[in-house]
Amino acid sequence: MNPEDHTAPPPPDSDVMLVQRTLGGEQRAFELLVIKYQRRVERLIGRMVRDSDLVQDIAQETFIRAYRALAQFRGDAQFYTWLYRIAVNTAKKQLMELKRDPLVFQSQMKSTDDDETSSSDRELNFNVVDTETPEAVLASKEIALAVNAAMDALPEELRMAITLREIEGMSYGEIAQALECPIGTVRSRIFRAREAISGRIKPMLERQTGKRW
Amino acid sequence: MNAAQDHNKPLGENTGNLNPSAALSALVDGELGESEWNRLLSSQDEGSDTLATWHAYQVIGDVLRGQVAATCVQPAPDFLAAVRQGLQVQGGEPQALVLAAGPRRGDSANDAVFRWKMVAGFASLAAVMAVSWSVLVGSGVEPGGANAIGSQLVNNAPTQPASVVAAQVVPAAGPLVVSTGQGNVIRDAQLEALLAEHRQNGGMSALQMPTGFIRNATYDASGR
Repeated sequence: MNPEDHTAPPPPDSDVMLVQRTLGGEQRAFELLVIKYQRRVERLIGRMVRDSDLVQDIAQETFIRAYRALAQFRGDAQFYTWLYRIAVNTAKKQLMELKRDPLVFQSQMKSTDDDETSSSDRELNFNVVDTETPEAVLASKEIALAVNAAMDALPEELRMAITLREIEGMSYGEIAQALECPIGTVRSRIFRAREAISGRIKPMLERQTGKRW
Repeated sequence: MNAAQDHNKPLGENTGNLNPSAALSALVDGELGESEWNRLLSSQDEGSDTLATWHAYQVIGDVLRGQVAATCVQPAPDFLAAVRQGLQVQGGEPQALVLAAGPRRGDSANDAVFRWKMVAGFASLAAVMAVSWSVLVGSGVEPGGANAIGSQLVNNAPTQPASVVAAQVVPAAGPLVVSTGQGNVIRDAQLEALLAEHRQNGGMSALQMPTGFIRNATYDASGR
């Protein structure tokens, strides 16, 4: 094992890099951000608006506005924190235009305003939101079960690596130290774990989305 | 090759053949090397499978962390297509690109002539000298320098001792306590003047139809 592997400087935030690539003219980079944050933005707006069609419209408008204002993102805060504010402002504006009464839960908005992954956000795990259909909830549970089953079926080394990364939030360098292996091996194990899990859920996701990308 | 050997095979950055899925996995974790970015984003143009893989990886992470449900309100491909269409219809471009393409301020017409720059430099220098001279003359500073200024300040200083000045000022400004048969009364010149004004303007003579309430409210209490 090369000890220098553990002391390598951490790479820049991937969201910031994707933003920079988008500003450089690569729209594909922005599409990765859209896919990454679509569900979180929809979930956020779903707490403010009952109408699922309106949730979709506001979420799309949020990303369009974010794309236009992307140069204003300085990277001081997390990208989602910046996106969160755009989503909330877009939703408020849309509701004002429609002259509807926003079903805003102030306490939740305030708590998520400070921390993008606050405890209240986590507590909403798989709870039924008004915009979710029973079929969507069932599909979510099926996918979650498939992910957990695939995790159980993973070899110990792979399961440990992806657990340390996804659940504990450790960097590759920290995982390499913990598992006493090179960073390249950590990277390989995490990739293989993801491949094994995605092999199980991809058909379910395609069945849910109904069409290819 | 057994499974353990397969797991331990590192996927380094410099393997030449980039595996897009492996690079996406590293990108999910924010561990993608700089050299892999270009190859990854260029490989995206070849097929849309990378988007599906990226989506699956994001769902896996969210499910494991228990943050967000796996499903979307709108299917992700449809949502992405709608965002693309919206960007095309509304002509959206990041502001930086728009600013970069916008009109730039041109150079001045005489920018290439060096003597104009010299003239501007001399003019600035002359302006600074003129302002400095006027300041020096206005403050009355003789060529003696800092010592002269110090001596002048000393000469202009009041010659009275500080204690004398305080003795003159304090009685006039502060209230005076007078001992009477009914106890100590504070006499303040400003308060006296204020009460006198109130007597003049709020007294019975200034009010046409005095009532009991108003009479009681006035300061005209000569009987007391």
